[in-house]
Amino acid sequence: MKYEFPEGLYTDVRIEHVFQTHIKYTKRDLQECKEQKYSAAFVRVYDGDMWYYASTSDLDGIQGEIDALAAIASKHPAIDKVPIYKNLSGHKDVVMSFIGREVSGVPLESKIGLLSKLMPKIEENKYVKLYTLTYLDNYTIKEFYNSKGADLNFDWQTAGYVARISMLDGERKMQCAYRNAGIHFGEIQTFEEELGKELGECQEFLLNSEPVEPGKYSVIFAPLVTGVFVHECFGHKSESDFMIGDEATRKEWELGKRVGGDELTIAETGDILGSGYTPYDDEGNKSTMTYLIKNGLLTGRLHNAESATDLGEHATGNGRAVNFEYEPLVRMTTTYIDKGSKTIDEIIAQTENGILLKDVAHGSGMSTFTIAPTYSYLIKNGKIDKPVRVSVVTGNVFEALTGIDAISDKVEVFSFVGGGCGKMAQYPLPVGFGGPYIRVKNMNVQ
Amino acid sequence: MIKEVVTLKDKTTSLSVTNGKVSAVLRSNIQKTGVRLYDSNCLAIAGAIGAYREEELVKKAKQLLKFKLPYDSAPEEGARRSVDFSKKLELSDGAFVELAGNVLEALGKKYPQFMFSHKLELKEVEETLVNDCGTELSYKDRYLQLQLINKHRDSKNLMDGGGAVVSRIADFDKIVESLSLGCDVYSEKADFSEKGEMIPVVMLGNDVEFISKFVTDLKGDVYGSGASLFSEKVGQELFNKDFTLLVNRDAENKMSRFFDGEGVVLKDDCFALIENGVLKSAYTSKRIAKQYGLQVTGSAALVYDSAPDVSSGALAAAQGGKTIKELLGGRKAILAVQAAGGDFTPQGEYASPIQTAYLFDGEKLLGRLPQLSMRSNVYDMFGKDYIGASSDSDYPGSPFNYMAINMNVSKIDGWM
Repeated sequence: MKYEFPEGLYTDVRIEHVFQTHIKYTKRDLQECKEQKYSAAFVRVYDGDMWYYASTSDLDGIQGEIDALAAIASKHPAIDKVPIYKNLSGHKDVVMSFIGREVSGVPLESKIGLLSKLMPKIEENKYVKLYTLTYLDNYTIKEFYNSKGADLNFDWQTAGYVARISMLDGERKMQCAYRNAGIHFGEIQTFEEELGKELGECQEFLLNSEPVEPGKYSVIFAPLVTGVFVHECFGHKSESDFMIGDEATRKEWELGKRVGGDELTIAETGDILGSGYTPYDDEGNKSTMTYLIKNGLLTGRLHNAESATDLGEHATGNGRAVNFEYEPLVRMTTTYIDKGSKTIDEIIAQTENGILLKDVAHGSGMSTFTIAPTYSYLIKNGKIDKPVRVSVVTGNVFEALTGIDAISDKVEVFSFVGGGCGKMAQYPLPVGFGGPYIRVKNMNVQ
Repeated sequence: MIKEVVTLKDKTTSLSVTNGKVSAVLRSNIQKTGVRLYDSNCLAIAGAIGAYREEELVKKAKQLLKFKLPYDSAPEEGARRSVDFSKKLELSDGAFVELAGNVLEALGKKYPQFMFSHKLELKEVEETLVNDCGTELSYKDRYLQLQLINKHRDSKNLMDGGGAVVSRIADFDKIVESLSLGCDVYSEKADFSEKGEMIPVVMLGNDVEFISKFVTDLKGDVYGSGASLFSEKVGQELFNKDFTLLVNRDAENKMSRFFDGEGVVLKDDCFALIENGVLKSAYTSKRIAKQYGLQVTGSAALVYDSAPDVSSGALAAAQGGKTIKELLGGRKAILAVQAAGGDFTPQGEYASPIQTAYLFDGEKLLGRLPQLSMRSNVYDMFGKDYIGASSDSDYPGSPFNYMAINMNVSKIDGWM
């Protein structure tokens, strides 16, 4: 055993070895160029009543932290009989998915060189007034040990870049972003065609977009927007820590309840290689495939050990912390809406008066969720009519889910760098999301 | 070669609250250190979390100099000031835990129909910037950071309201009052007649939603490159005479560092970007100011291992001389406790939902409002429709004050 775990308590240790790179240009001026490497740990002790946490960057002092937390906890005569104990695992495993392709092995010069290749393409567009290019990567190895015998070693990686572009034509302004993210450096080398499309669309909006007429519309979400929607609109409500000790919410979210049409299925898993990849969570529980909604019925929810215990269900591998400074909360990994049966062309053709959201700046979710789109198009009589400027699209969660009346037949799942999910003080947690095109009735558009 | 060392220390006692009880205790004590080397108009930085050896960081930074990160501004010379507010809060770590327990007990007794959760924290921060040019700057503080969300036991929502306290003053009764914001009027559904009229919307502390267009479009490089809605408009009276937007580094009242990430200390700890409605400047770091011929506004971020980039963190509307009650002048207003997810378009049009709102007379909450949505545009919001930023707050010693703006408000179906 790597550590001496005190009797009468549950104890776990999560160690993170992190390598990350951050390079930023504003136009051709290099503004940031750093590689960061550190190791640090988070220690938890549970005495059957309370959790006691410590975070430390002194790996040699971990045993001392365990002992100090144990000293303020009260030993439990039968800690292995405490209900939460069964939802904490003792897995032993090594899952190294990125050995040989670690971004820590790619020279900094190559990463700078990649950004340099994007610059001429962006500068070709005469309306571009300002742009920033940011490259980010992260290779993390996690170790996890607990007093149930867990001994885990696994890795995680992302690499990518974001080009944020401001265009100007007289008094008209437009901002857009081109993103390219993957799980290793070799995956993000190709950009010409997609960057060209982004610049073209941004220019089209700059020159021809008009303010939207506020009102209620049928709104078609492109796959990325669907991803933000499913994450913000539904995913956060599936994080079951908010149901702990809360009978009213449990009734509202009773499994088996119909929340959407027969074609609506929403899935969540940490097994997809991408920014939401989580083979084991930060409590040592293994990733599962969780169907949150299947054929329109509420079928599952996300758990850490505590919420699973409180609701009498099983841990789903969703106990995640943003870094060594924080405790694991119930968080999403990769969440997506599954495919439907229509083509996107059919969906547009069957929309009389609607809005197509092609990209999104940000979203948020409570009982009312919001989507702030980048590119929006008015649809009239089954055809895309013109680009319109939309500040925000809002809707009620349940009404939006039941309001989904068309789902396209292809799913795209996205990875990201330069952002993530926020919950409480923990931001940004890497997640993945996506889905097909979907159409939602009766949304507020402003 | 000039060496500069940045140190950020954060010591926190954090109590996680679940269903009105402390469910976890976290004690963290984390130090982050960065060594910056300035050489031949270039900058290199190496950082460490926790224990470090300075000579190793210097060696690593020297290796990074080969990437020639351009930095043609001089490091700050001879700036010396030390500010320590850490003794103002006379509350030991143990007394804080006891206080937190008493607050939760009081909330549980007073509002048994509500569940409270989130975090109660005692924070101690120390931030320093020291260089070979005689600059020695130090800020130390210790304060309460308390935030609870509440939910009625019969409610189907994730949350129904919430309150926050950030202060160096531990006033038990006021803490209970602030953290239970909205509980007293949960059952009082206020009328909202949708007539398309302009209604004062008041924000407390979260007015960053309102000023977010200035965050994006007064950023020095955005402004200087011509990509801002306000580019080339310095000197013009664009907004209401009562509106002044500051880079505010008043450490005592704003409870944050008085120097920026480049060691710049502002005269009187403030710089007016918009003064009495007249646009004066974009916000800048030294590097951005030099690049675009703008004034230095002390707006560089202090990240221990990053080059100083421009940051909007210290932007705040200047407080006026009137309380929120005086500003409202007898009108009833909407207190927007949560208004998340809205945005400005590049042209300055604004819309946002208000997820949690109360009818408010400037002193007390009169009832709970349904979910609302508000819209306007940046010129109207800070022009003809601007009411003001108040002199008062809801808690003694709080760095936050109220901001009120007339907005076009309409009802979204349903209640939170």
